Amino acid sequence: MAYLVFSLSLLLIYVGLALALHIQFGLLGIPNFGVVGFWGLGMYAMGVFQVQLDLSFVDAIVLSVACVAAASWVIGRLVLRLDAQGILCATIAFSAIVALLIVTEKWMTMGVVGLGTIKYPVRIGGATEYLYFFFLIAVVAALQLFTLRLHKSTTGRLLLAIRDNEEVAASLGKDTYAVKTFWFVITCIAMGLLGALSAPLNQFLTPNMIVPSVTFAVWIALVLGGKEHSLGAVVGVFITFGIFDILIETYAPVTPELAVYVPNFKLFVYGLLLVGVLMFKPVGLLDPGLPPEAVIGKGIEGVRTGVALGRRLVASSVSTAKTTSGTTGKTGSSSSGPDESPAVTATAEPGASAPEADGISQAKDPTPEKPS
Amino acid sequence: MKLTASGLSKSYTAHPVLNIQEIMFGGHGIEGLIGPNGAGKSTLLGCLTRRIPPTTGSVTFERDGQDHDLISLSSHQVAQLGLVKTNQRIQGFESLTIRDQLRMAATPPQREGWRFSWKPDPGDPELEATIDGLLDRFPFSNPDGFAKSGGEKKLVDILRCLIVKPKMLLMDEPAAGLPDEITQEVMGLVRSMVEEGELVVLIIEHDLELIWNNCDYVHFLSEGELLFQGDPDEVKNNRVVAEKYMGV
Repeated sequence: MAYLVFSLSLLLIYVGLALALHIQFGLLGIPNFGVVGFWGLGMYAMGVFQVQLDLSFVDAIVLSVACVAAASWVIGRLVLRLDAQGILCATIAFSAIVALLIVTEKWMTMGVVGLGTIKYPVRIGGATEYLYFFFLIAVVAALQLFTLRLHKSTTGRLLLAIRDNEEVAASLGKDTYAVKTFWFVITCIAMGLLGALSAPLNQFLTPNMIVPSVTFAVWIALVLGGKEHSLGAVVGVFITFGIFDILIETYAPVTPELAVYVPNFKLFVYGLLLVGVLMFKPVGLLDPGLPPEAVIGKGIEGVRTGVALGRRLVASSVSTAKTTSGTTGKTGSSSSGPDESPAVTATAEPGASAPEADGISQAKDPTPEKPS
Repeated sequence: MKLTASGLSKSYTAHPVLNIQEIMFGGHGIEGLIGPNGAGKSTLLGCLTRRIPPTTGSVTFERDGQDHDLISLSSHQVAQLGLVKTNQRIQGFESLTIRDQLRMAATPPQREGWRFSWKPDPGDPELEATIDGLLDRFPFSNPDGFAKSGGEKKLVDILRCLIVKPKMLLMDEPAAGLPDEITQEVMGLVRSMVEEGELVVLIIEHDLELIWNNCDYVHFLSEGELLFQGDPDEVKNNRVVAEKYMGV
């Protein structure tokens, strides 16, 4: 159970990162390929402030976020006037620099030895992780709620206009560079904050956490889910991270010999999904025109059918159990037979088919929103 | 409203495309700027609105008795002063509906700041009425949807510029890509706004009928230099213009 809470907490972090990237890239058109840099800087800054300087949780968070804000402001000033390729290269370079400095600056980060232990803000015995999990839900739900509202605001409209045609937006009197810099810094701060919040989750920080695959996981999730849709980040992360890292790696009945192949299989399916989406539906699973309410409604519907299927499966397995124990052979098996077969195929499916799992992941979204 | 450029030149790697001693716009209601292809008309407009940095020269925009040096400003600041240009090529905001494009253009930047980022667009009844008026006047296939054809996009581009209430509007080939009757309607609207003293206009156009019918004053540009300017009749009958441009 503790492992599930850890995985779900990590999933929330990814949802948050994808949301920040959605604003950066989906709305504003800034291709930030250095997600792991901003996230990692926040996380390691948190570690350094807590472990090396022995600061309190709140002080360390505030200072870490300030570090990320300063870094992203400098990066923004340097690259936001460049075109997409320039920004892409510069942000990748930034994340590589962060990763390298973490290894080399041993006096501060302990280098490859690792930095720990980062404490949870409050410790209440076995409930600590659960409490922190709910805190993360609140943070990510707030971010999601903000994104939903940003889409309906005058600001969101301006961001889209700048993404579509910055030059014309400027010719209508919009200070596009200032707007881009501001929102780039704000969204990088969100990434840094999520990094700082990941530090207690991981407890012990090592440089091999700051790898480009974090950036790619966030990008793949966002592009799959729908980069322009306010719920694309959530849907995308549930499809990728939710299904593979949580459902399959933890719960699928895979034999130890096959388990070795799961991570490779995961990359393979990620790639396949990505190519499929880019070929057949480049905007991602969620069309930007689709209203969020409709997506949430569909998700709830998906969960209902899932629950109904589950019930039928349980009911049929109970009835077969009864009939086999009763040993009234023929009538029992023939009555349960037709009932059972569709249910069994349906449960075998979620691992392989995206749409079914998509429904489940979408429905999870409204629940985290409630606590805020 | 006066826009003056002096000693303005623009060269691309030592290849001069524009070289103007002195030119002034805004003295008459609607002015025209004509000249053969490659004369530097669009480059001149780009330099005036700070979209293209000129090689040398100064540009001054006089508004409400105050002179503003445009060279030291960036393109959005020029627009905020009230100098706005429509585009020759079709350009727009693909992911905004026609209505949203107009709303976005007319919303002042201070109402798009971070304080407004989590509030739904409050809407401005006066602005909505203006937009309704414009959308009723022109035949869009679906005014609440996206601009589909090139003509619609071009028209939205012009309306977007009109709705920001510029003091001086520069129109780069407004007739190109627009059906004749729409061009007439646009020019009618622009003319009525000019007559009410809301703005002054400068039009670049190859459709000379449009220039002769609408303009009160015409500038003739050729090979980057200002060769002649005057009333439409003077320009029409000028020998240089006839030789260099009308091929007579």
